[in-house]
Amino acid sequence: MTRRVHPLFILMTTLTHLRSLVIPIAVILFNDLKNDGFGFYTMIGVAVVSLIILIFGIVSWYFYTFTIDEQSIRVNKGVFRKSERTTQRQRIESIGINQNVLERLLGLATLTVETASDSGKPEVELKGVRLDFAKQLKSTIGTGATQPALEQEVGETYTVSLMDLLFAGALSGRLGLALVGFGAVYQFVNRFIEQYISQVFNELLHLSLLLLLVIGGAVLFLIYVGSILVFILRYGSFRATLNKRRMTIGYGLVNRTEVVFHQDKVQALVIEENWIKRRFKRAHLSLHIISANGEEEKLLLHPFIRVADIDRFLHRFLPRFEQLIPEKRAVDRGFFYIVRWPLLGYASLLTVLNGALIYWLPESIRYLGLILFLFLPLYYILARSGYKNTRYGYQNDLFVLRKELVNRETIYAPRLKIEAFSSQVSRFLEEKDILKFQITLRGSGVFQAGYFTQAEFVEVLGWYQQTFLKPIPPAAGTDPSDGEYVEET
Amino acid sequence: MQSNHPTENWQHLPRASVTAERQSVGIQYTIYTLLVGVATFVQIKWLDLSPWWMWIVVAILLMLFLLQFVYIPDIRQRYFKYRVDDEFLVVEFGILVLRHVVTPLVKVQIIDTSSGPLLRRLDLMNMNVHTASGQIELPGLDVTQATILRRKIESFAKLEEQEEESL
Repeated sequence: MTRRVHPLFILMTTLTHLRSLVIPIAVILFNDLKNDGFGFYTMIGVAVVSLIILIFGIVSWYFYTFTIDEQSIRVNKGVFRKSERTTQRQRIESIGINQNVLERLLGLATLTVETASDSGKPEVELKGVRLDFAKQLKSTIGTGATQPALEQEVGETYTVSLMDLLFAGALSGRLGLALVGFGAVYQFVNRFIEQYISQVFNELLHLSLLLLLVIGGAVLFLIYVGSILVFILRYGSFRATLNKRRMTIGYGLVNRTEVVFHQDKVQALVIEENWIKRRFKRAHLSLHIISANGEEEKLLLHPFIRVADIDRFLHRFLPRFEQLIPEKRAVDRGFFYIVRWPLLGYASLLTVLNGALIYWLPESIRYLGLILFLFLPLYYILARSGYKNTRYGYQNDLFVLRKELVNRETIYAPRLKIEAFSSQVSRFLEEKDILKFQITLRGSGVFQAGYFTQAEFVEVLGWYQQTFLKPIPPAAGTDPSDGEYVEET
Repeated sequence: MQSNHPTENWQHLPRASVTAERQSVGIQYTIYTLLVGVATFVQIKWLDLSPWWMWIVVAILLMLFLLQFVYIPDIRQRYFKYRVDDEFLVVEFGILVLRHVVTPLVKVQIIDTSSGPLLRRLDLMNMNVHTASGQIELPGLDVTQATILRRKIESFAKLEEQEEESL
């Protein structure tokens, strides 16, 4: 079926183009007002430009068509420079439905189809389709039928409560996200308050140190609360559904995102437990999926799951993955090489900081900053106990690699999804018989941990280097790994 | 369970690859030297400066040249090796960090070969093996070596991988 997207697409493109022209048009109008009211010609000019944009929108809508058949999805677009893009259905890794605020108001959505091509952009992007139509399309593509399935039985579903999201946001320790938001707001506000800032700053210099500290603390607290808010806005009303081995994950209070993928397309499962969450026996689950959503190919699966519930949860939603305790520990002699650079870095940072403090602070509290050096042994102890938990293991078809210094991160990857298994070690440490393991997943997901030994590496390779080929059906009785259909050069 | 017994011996880069790399580095640094010369000339002749800082530039360039011309090609040739192990491509390489990479041949998506005039004169070619997760570079292979390897990898391209479930 060859179809066009919804006519509201015209409005969408017109609005986006007009938005980029807002400033020049405003300048022209303002200039006119300053002289002697609106000029007749200005009105005509603006009207003509708007009309051209509208016509362009209509024409590009007319030429924007897509075709879905049993094998592939084809998108044609372009007015002057035509483009046609065909995507094989079996290459599809995931399908996403995104709605930004404007689209939500208009009841539209953007449908993206992702494959493993390394361009980084989605293979197919259908802007401005009706939400219900997008959902229909999604199920059409999903089931491989040319006609949309009318009634879909609803599979298993779970949601994440607001309380859990709140805690997850509060304990994620992600100040960076908030700082970014804070920076954006500041940039926006800055132009209005610029002249006051320097004044305020001068005032501040006269205040006492205590008050400064209080203000600093308050600002940090605000940033912290902001980070929780951002987290909740981003992942609010989280909902995941499993239906005939296809999983749908949707989240977002303002910009809504929904991603669909087949269970077999999951590259890896990552369980993150940062040091605060471990105290509460909670963990953060995410998946490696090729999709335009999520951050760095990681898709949130559950932000705040009880560690005791993980097994049951995985059994229900991702039976291929099971939690297992990796048994092989990192070698002790490697610890020094892991920790030496961070320690040196922190030590020099603290030294510089203390130098500055001793120079600037008044006589009485000059050496206060030296307390900060207590951080170094603390870090060492935390890292030391963490390093004992840096482990690897494999069972059946699953490889587990765990890295822990202060935060713990465990990756579960099925053997057939590991695109490359490698080891690496600096030339200077080669003779110490230690090396880091690294697994590479599709879509440039890289995970490494160490140090382990050469013998262990060879052992894991023995497990990894089993056949990746599909057994040929008639030869079902014979051992598929005897290489009889491999060596036909 | 299949043991990872090597099905063939390690293949090394030919000695000629060192020559090729040195030639290209040589040309590169000849251009740099000319540039530095022109810059110095301009500064002395027309800007009436006595550019002592050019000595620093020359020193840095000389140091980099020594590294890239004398040591790195040799180290690369000495440590780079690869082999095809059943259905896996195994490559060991690295100047400062030693890497050992194992990739299943069925995962290979594109094989990319290229050779410039310098490489062609010495019967060498560069080869890039792309998978969905990145690429492995095999620089300065012998042409016969490369052809054998390419044919081997190509024979896997038509085979089917386990589990490719469509959405």
